[in-house]
This record gives sequence, C-alpha cells and structure tokens, in this order.
Amino acid sequence: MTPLASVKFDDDRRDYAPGDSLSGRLEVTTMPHADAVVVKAEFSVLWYTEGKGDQDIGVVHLERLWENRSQPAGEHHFSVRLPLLPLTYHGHLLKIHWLARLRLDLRPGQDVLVDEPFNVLAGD
Amino acid sequence: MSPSTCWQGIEEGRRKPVALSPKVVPLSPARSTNAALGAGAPHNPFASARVQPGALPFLLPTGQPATHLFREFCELGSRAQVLGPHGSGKSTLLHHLAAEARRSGWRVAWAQQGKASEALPSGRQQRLVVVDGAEQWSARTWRRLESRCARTDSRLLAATHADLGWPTLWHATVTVETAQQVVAHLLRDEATPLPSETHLRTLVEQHNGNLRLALFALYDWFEQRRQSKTPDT
Repeated sequence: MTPLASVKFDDDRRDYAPGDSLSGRLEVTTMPHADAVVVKAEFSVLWYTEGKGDQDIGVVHLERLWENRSQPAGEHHFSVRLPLLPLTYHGHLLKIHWLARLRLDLRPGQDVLVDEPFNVLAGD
Repeated sequence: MSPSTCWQGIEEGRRKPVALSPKVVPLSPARSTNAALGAGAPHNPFASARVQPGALPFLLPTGQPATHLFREFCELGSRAQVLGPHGSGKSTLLHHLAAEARRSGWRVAWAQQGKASEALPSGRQQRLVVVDGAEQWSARTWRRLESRCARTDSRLLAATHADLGWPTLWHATVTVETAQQVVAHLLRDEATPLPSETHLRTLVEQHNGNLRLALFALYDWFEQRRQSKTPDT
C-alpha cells in the first residue's frame, strides 16, 4: 500500500523520558483520489490503556493543522512537551501505550489515521 | 525501526477506526523495539478494546459475514429482536446491523435506559432505534419509546435475554465453531498458533456459553504464552 501520509520523529527516536520534547514532522504527500479534500487535519499526542478493563485515553496535545485543502499540505513540524506521567507500561492486566496521531477528515471518502507509537520511560 | 505508515479508515459516521492494512491497527500500533521492554511490546489481541461489541465483526458459524441479516431485518416489519444469553454476540450483531443501516442511508440512534425520549434520530431518512439490553427496560419506558417510534415511523431493533414477543431476527448462541471463527479472526496477524479445539470447547463450557468470558480467559492465555517465550534478561 502506498503511504500517503506519515508521522516521523526526529532522529528516528522512539524512546523519551518524562518531560522530554517529542519533535518531528508530519507529511502528506499525495491524496487518495483526484477530488479528495481534506476537510480537517488534526495532530494529537495521546496515551491509552489496553487490557481487560475499559479502555482509557488521555490526549496531551491536540492541534488543528489545516482545513479544506485539495492539494497535499507538504510538511509540518511539531514539538510537544511530554508530561511526567503516565509512563509506558506493559503488565499482564494493564498496558499503557503512547502514540502520535495524524487524522485526516476526507471528503468524499473515509477518515484516515496515521499512528506512530513511542515510549515514555523513566530515567535510570 | 523505520516508521510504519499506512492508511487506516474509519467507518463513516461511527468514528471508530478500522484497519485497512494488516500491519497497523488503530490504537494498537506496530511493535516497539525498545530493548528495555523486551524484544518488542506486542499488543494482546484479546484486550477488551478488541473484543468489545463493535470492535469484532459479526461472523456466522460458517465464518462468513452476516450481510444478509440486514436485508432480513428490513423485511420483518417495524420491530425485531436479537435473542440470546450473555456473551453470545447480540451486541456485536447490533453494531453490525447499525453500521449496515448507516451504509444504506438510514439514521441510527442508540437508546439508553431512561432516555427514550431523546433516542429518536432526526432527519427524513429511514430511521432506526437500537436498544441493547432490552430486558432491563421498564414497561413504562418501552411504551414511551414505542409510541414515539410509531409516530415517527422509526424502526426498533432490540437485543434481549428474554423474549419480548417480537419477531426474532437472530437467536444468538455460542458454539465451539463460533469461538474458533472469532479467535481465528483475532489472531490473524499473530504468529501465535490457534488454541486447540479441545481448549476452546473447555473454555466455552466452563463459561456456560459466554464467549465474552471465554475471550477474557484467552487474554491470560496469550499473555502467559508470550511471557513463556520472553528470554530472561
């Protein structure tokens, strides 16, 4: 499948400490079809839980990028200060994951999501 | 590790991510290769977010999607029920039918206990009101909802443990074959071998046909298998 959008972290980094700056760039290179319009584009950084219980989500950054564009928007740089908690965690009953998400609301057609995971780890 | 990028779609109107690529699933992204977390940090395919109603497709015992059921619902009249015990797939079927209705241009609303008056979808299209857990509703609440649905020509679809006396669209039951289909679907992107038929049969019987509880048990099974493969550090 040809990638049309991406989220890339600076230095291809995946591991961050609490309070670090999560930085990188968003790219929208091509549109899925000729008459597609990005009604809304949003970038978010969030954590979510996974396990046997109800899923919980925390959005620590939400940024509206652009609206009503019919041409690829090119590159957009981001820099988000990560909170101190929660840390990435992988237990038996509960896991906590972090990811950066680019959401494109397309018309006509369906919304698309590009998720890039990363870790928030306590220092030594 | 190079960034994993792909298109992922969301069912229009439901705002619920649906994976188009088998490599990355919304809210369950590609594996981390952080050494501190071991050799990757895969997700558990039996986590609640993956097995809850709406997350799983409704599969017939044959493994085929139930595309004909919406058509049958349309022919049943103003109301129909999905009947079955706990954990038999009723809510999953409701989500499937609601999605089919939206794709057909219907307006769909989910009615909550005590909020029948707010349940009716607006608009001039064909309207559907979905009720999950219908046996929990009081007779008074039902009368109010049915009255409003009749006035607005809205159809009713209810999931229930107890027979409401409505036409039955589907009688949900859980067999070992059903469990096999669901588990195969959940493990489709995993290298983990499927649990044996004997194992699944034991789980289904232990939980009295409640597939939801059987899937929770498989959550532990999956974690234990993964931990047994993790080398000591």
